[in-house]
Amino acid sequence: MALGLAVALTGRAGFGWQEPPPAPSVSRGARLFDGTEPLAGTLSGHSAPLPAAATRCSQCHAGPGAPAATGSSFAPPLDRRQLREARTRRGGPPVAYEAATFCRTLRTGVDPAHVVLPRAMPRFEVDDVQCAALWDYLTQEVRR
Amino acid sequence: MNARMLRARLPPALPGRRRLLVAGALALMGMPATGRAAVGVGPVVPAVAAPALPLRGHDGAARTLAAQLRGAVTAVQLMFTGCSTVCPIQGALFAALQAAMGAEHGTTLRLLSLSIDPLADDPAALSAWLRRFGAGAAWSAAAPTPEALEGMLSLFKGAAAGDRHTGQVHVFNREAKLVWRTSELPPTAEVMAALRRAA
Repeated sequence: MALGLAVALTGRAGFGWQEPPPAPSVSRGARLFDGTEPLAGTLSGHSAPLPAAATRCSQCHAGPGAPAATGSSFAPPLDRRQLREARTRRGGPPVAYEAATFCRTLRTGVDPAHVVLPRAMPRFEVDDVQCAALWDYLTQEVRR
Repeated sequence: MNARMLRARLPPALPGRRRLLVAGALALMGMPATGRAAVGVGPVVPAVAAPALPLRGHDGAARTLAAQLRGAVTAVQLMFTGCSTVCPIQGALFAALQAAMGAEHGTTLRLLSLSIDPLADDPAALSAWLRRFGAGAAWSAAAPTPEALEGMLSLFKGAAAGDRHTGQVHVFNREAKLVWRTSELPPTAEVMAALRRAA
């Protein structure tokens, strides 16, 4: 037991212990979030899609693990707490996001409380895999 | 309460640029209703003449806002080059508008990106911003002098609060009078219709 404890302690505290790499979908979600992998998006009421330089999530939202001061007041931060806790958003009733409602919001601009997001939030043409990757990235547990 | 009084009340620790933006936003909130142009989307009745506020253009030239706008129907957006939220979208929308204008034979329409950050947006920054979005000869950019910011903001409804500044497009006629306000981040067709109406 003592040996096992020692191995566990040394293994965690030093001697090359490393965080396990993030799941592939989380890594892809991070790329989609910061625009490394572009997302196609169009403003509500517009016919032409925006250029990729104008559709990066990180332009307006702080992502998981970002310090509180990061990002602007223009749009809410996006992380596990913000998305998974039931909250009152834009005057609607308290509601939490689920993967399905998150994807619907990205595509239609209508949030889980059936409140329409401002036009500045593009309506994204995301497929199910892209959407799941973004959800996995944003709702991951982050060590602080 | 005017912006000068508000600036005096702001904490001195605020950097000059931020003080200026905050003061501008507060000045608008405290502005009497009679000092505002007609509110909302659509025609501005009566049309509001652009004041002779001093600007510095992306080419470094000094001219007044009225002189900048006189002589051509102009679509004006408010922006600042350090804005990473809504301004990239605004730049993309003006680029699309420029393409639509180019498709109209013999058009004399113009575009003006007007900065709300006179301390940071010098001619070099404004020129870089125009290049970023492929601006042609009909699209220019300018910033007011710091002292002229308050007067400029009073011309535009809900004009400035940093990243939350208005994404409306303001249409001026050839006499440099504000005649139309579009919706927030308007589609190209909406702006083109307003420009044609003002022509």
